Amino acid sequence: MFNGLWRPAWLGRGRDPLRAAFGHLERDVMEVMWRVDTATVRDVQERLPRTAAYTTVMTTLDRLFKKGFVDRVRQGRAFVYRAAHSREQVETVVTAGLLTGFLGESRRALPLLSNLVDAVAEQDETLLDELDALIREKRTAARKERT
Amino acid sequence: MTGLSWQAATLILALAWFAALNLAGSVVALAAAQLFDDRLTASASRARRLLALRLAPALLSLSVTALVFVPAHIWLEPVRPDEKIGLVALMLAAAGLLLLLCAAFRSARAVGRTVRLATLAPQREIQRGAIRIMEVPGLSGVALAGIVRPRILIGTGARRVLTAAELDLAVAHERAHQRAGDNLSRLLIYCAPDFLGWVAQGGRLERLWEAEAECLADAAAADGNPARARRLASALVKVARLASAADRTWSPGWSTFHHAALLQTRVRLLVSGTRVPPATAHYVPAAAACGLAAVATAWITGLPRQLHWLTEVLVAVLP
Repeated sequence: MFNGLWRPAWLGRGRDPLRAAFGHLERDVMEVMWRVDTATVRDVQERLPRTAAYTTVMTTLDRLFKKGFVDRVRQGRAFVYRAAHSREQVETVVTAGLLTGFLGESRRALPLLSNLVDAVAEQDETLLDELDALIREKRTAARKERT
Repeated sequence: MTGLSWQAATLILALAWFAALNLAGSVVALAAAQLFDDRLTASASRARRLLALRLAPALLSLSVTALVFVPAHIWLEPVRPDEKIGLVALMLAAAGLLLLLCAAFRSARAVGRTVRLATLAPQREIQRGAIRIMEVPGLSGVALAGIVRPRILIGTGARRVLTAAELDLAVAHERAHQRAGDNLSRLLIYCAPDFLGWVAQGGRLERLWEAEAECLADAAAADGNPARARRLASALVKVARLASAADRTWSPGWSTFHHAALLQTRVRLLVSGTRVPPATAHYVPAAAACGLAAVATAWITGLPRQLHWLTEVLVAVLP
């Protein structure tokens, strides 16, 4: 019942604050991105301290892009990535508690979380496409009405 | 149990009354919750009723115990060196203490997070005004964080995918939450010391209130303008597409723009052109005045004396 309710701040001292916000590979990729100015997926893969498949690195970079941690521009057929924020900036945000929720707490103790946990579930792409189509349809109808 | 000091007996009886009233209030609230169907009406009065019902057991038990029972006990109970307390009262007191400790832990944690938020360096501030607007890498969408000095946090991803007009509407949505005091309500629900929070029906009340609050904030942001409503709906869908990528943010003092469970309903409500009047009434002072009037009436009608007499009888009769 008390699992995760409260933990003294000193217990977390000495740990890398980024561990709260990134997975292992994400953290390694971000470390590479902070070292280099710009990099392609291949560049990142070669600089990683661990072996990772090209597609795995590509997926990780794509996820980091969607999260807003890296920017990218298309050059030819490949994307070139760069860190969107410095390590210090990201650490500040993590330290301020913005990127770690209460997900460690038991759901029983937090009925309110029941729908918020739903909110972090992956959204059904089909539903999103349907809703997009609905909005487009209403927009077109409104435009026609005006003309 | 015998030989308790007067102070210890007073504390145990106060905790026991708190737990008993809380339990009774929770049962009544659970029964009343059946009157609310799951249909979303986007009505300010329904949202207020849901919130009042959710908080009623905690408010009732705390106020009656602190403002009626304890003063009456201090006033009417003679100081004796060896008080007797039965097992039932002790068990109730233990339950009451447990509820209060859980609430204290949660409050401490929520306050800690709010204080940490206040220390966030303003290096990524986008706009300074009544509410600071800041960009936060890794955040899935847009959120209103904090209660006393709230900030609107915009995820880098959301800033990238939303058009300027859509971003304005997302911010307007969060401002509506701020005006309605939804973060405070959410925090009160989170910290409320009651039995209602431990059962599924209590969770249902919270979800219904949450849904109404979100739709009301949408309505306030759309401001009765169908074009704005469509842009807001579009922003909701765009942020929903980001949500699976960045998903580790929540706090009781936060309002978040995206809720997967409510997405479809909110989008359909927005594009259907339903105009919902935003909440304007300030009901908190009125509710506080009613509460104070109820306590005053209780004292005028002699309720404290009757409560003290009832306590004496129960302590004597119960094992």
